[in-house]
Amino acid sequence: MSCLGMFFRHRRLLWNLIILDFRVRYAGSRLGLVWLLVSPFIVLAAYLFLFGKVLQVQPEPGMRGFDYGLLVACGLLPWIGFAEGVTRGTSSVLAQRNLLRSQVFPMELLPVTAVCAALLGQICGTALLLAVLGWRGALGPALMWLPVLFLLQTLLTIGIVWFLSCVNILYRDTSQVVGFVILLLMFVSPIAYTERMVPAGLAWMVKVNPLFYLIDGYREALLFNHVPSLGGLTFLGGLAGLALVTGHRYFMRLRRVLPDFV
Amino acid sequence: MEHAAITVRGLSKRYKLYRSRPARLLDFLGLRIGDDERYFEEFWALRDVSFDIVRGSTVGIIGRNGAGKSTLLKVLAGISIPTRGEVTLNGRASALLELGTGFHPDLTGHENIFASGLYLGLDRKAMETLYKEIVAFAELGEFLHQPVRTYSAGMHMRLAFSVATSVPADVQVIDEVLGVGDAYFFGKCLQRFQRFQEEGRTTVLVSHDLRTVLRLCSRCLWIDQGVIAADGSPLEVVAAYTQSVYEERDRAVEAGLSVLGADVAPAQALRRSGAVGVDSVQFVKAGGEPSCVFSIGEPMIVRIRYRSRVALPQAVVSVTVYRTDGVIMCNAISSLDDAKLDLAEGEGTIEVVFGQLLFGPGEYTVSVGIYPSLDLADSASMQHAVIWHKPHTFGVRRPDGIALDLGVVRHPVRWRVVNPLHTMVPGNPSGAVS
Repeated sequence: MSCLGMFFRHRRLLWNLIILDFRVRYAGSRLGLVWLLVSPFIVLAAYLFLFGKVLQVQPEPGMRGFDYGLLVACGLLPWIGFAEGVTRGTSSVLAQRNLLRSQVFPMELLPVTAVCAALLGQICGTALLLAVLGWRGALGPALMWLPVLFLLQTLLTIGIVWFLSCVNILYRDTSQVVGFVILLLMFVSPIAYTERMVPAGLAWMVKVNPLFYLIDGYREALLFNHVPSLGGLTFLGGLAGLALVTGHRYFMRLRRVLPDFV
Repeated sequence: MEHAAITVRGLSKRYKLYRSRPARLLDFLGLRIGDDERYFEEFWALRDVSFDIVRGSTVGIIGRNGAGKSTLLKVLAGISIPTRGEVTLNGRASALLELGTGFHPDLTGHENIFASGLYLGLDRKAMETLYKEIVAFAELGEFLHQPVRTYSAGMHMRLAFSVATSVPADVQVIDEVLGVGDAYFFGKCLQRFQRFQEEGRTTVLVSHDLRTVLRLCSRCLWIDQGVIAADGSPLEVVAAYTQSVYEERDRAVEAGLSVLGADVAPAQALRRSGAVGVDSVQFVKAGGEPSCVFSIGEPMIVRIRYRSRVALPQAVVSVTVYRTDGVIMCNAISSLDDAKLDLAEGEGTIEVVFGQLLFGPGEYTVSVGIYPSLDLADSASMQHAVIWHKPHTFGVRRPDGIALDLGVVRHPVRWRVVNPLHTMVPGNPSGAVS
């Protein structure tokens, strides 16, 4: 797969670009990285208030309070990483159109950079979650599945934004649509609830959503020390591979004409 | 070609102007609308362009807006791909196409230097070795550590230019950016371009400032409607281009007049019919023999051979002397000197005598205009019957044994020493002698 070779070939440039992305993002801000840690907490608090306190959701009989909080956190973290990655990735090429118009540069790295840089929030949040779980003594060997899930999520996101970032150049509406879809995805993904709570007639909606397998994998590996469902991992892996290969081919084909379109 | 830095063969670039948004989307998504003309109109920005550029030369590209200059630069830089034909570039290219390429407004100049390096394919280490040179050339002072959004256009350009021309490259293409800098920075750019020529670095630049082209370039291409209209020495090409701009403006004025229902001015009628023409212009020494080299202080006669199908009893003739980099040295106008020139029908000769050449050492060219009448108070009117504007030069020799720069003119002056006792009167610091 030529796209994976590309990651390796440009690994240093990619790393430098990610660092640059951070600098640019926090250049004018006073609190900088603090936002990365604070924002997932705020979303988590809102979820817990709405679903835990007001609606009194109980995924398992008697599960509430702190345990429920951990369950939601496991759902929220991959969603945040995915949502951020897709949103930033979609606008990444358009945001650098000056570069596109005036330099010879491996543009396919721009969406990759955006996705990787967007993962930082998820990484910080996951580290905190791991610390809490470790303190409670809940972690087991299934933890080793976490990097696998993380990798699959990243590759899937990159594949998707390779496609979306191109389309966004032609139709600026794309980023609006993406924002809307991300919002919908937040509700149809089992973040504050679990698959078992979904009525049987709507179960398909959960089954076709790659985020479900990701969230489920996180919960199995982190909360219950189970091996994530291999079927789910295969689905996720297949989807990620498909997105990556087609996204890369599409981007590379358009790359040569993109400067004429911006 | 053996030492070609750039070889362009049969280069054409087409832009598709889509008839509808869906057609654009289909093409973009790669669904084959291919070359089906039902979906788009073609716009050929470049048509079958071929040329070679020798290593180490500085080539200027001139032309009207939308002529295809910037497209050509983009293709040369490898940013835009040719629709047909091929471009071969020997070595590494660097491009400065839009002001502030890839600068992040919130990052400081210092940070942006390294960011630009990344986009140019140079890592931090490589940029560190260039850093001093870039900073020294850009001369941003305190602003180096301020966000780029606080920069003036000139500072922005200085930094962008400094980065783009400091990175190692064999070929660099530069779009209309020099105009933003001040005279001081322009002088520095000039030196830098001279160094590039010595180092064998090739530069292709687009400029609307013809004087920039004349000063910097060793060759000039005039692009008009996607094809090369002229290619040669900057002086020749700029002259041809200027001539065409005159003619264009002329046609516009005429079109404007006919819209207003006004009569086409007599000068324009003459000009259009080609009734008056200049056959040749010669530079002649005092003894009468033609020459192209003169000494400072020597007399020079500009001999103009004209022919006219009508008599011009109140003709005005102008001779403008340019230095070859475009500076207007003087503009001699016969009516200003109270010379009454009665030009008869048929062929004739006008002589303009420069009693003493005051111009400093250098190379000069002239343009000659013949007017049926001339309103000196109106600079915009197009009253000439003919303008002769050809790259025909004469040189003024540097006097023997003088190596100093004598300046643009050797102005006649008188010298005297004022007694210092008189200038130092106490209580009279201005030095005025009462």
